[in-house]
Amino acid sequence: MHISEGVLSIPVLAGGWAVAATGLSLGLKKIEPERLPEVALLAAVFFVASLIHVPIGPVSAHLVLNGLIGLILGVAAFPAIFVALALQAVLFQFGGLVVLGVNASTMALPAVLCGVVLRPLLASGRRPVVMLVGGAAGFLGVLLSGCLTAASLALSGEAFVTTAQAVLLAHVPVMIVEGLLTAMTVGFLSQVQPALLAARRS
Amino acid sequence: MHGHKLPVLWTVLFVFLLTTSAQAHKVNLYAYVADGTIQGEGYFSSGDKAQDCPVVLRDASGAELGSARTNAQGQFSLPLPPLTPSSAPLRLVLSAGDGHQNDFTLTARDLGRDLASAATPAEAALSATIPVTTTPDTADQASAFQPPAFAPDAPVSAAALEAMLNQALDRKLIPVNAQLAALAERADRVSAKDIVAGLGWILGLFGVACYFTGKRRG
Repeated sequence: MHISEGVLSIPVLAGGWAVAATGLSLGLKKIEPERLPEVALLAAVFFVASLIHVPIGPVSAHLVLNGLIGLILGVAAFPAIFVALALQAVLFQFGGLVVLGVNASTMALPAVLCGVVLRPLLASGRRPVVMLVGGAAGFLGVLLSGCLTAASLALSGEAFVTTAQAVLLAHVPVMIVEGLLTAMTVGFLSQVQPALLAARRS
Repeated sequence: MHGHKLPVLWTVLFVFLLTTSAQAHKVNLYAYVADGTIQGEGYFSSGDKAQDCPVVLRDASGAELGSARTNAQGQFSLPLPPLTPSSAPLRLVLSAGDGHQNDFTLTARDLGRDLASAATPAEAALSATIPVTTTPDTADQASAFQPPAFAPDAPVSAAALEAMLNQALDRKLIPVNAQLAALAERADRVSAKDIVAGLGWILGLFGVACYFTGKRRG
């Protein structure tokens, strides 16, 4: 879901950077020093996960894992995802530095939403509930990112319905895979390291 | 401490296992000019071909000169339109939908002769007509080479010679161009080196962040 350079209009690009800057500063303020390793590790996970590619017909899609990252990091998911995307833009020319604001926002906003809305539900610590919440985070993270990508393309003049269809259809298998993977991972984490998922005072 | 690191490590390892076919998400484009047509190929950084994607050709001023679609192999060709010296550089833009797009620039040097002949139309007309009479497509290169070389009219033979050499070179260069395209495609793939570089950067940024938070607290 990296949007390429030269596709979006200038207001959309500027808007993306405005959202990204806000998210970055909020996220950076939220990182407690003890949680820096988590943020760095999950940035690395996101950086590598985006290189897993699922070919679907003529379109390609890859794992995003923003739901999982949001669930663990909350608002701090924004800087983690931003750094990973910046490195992908510089090293692989995925997306680009001008569209980085939009790309970071479309990936990180759903992650933050998962962290804010879904993480409190993990408090019960019961495994079925935790896995269900994890699955929902994985599924919703990709779904919402797809919607935001389609919306930013639509705001730049592409027909919203066809673009949204193309983007979302391509990502249906990814949503399912991500839902399962996130459910598994969160279920595992809740048993091995519940502190990672515990609701944090904010 | 050990229990804290294990799950995240597990996630990273799992992700790495899945990455055996490291593929990614960017469309690329490569093109060259041969025999008066632009030949090109669109492909994803994963190596998949960009199938049935529109390609638009624009000149330096942004005016559209032509368009084509890639076939099932990701290849496209479109005839080189009449050029003026100010047309260069030409820009090919391939859109793969889904917000993916890339472009390729054919510079004045890539276009070389086609631009030069646009500058001197008389010479272009000459070189265009001579090869027809000597039928270089059926004759082998050596015999196609002969007649103008021994023709009495020296300036004509020079131009004709150049035209024939150019045609022969174009044919000879087809495999070289194809090989260059394949090399460009390989260079655009994500390498393990790049992935390790990225992870190293993240580790470095983490270190910098630790340094500053540690300093603030100390």
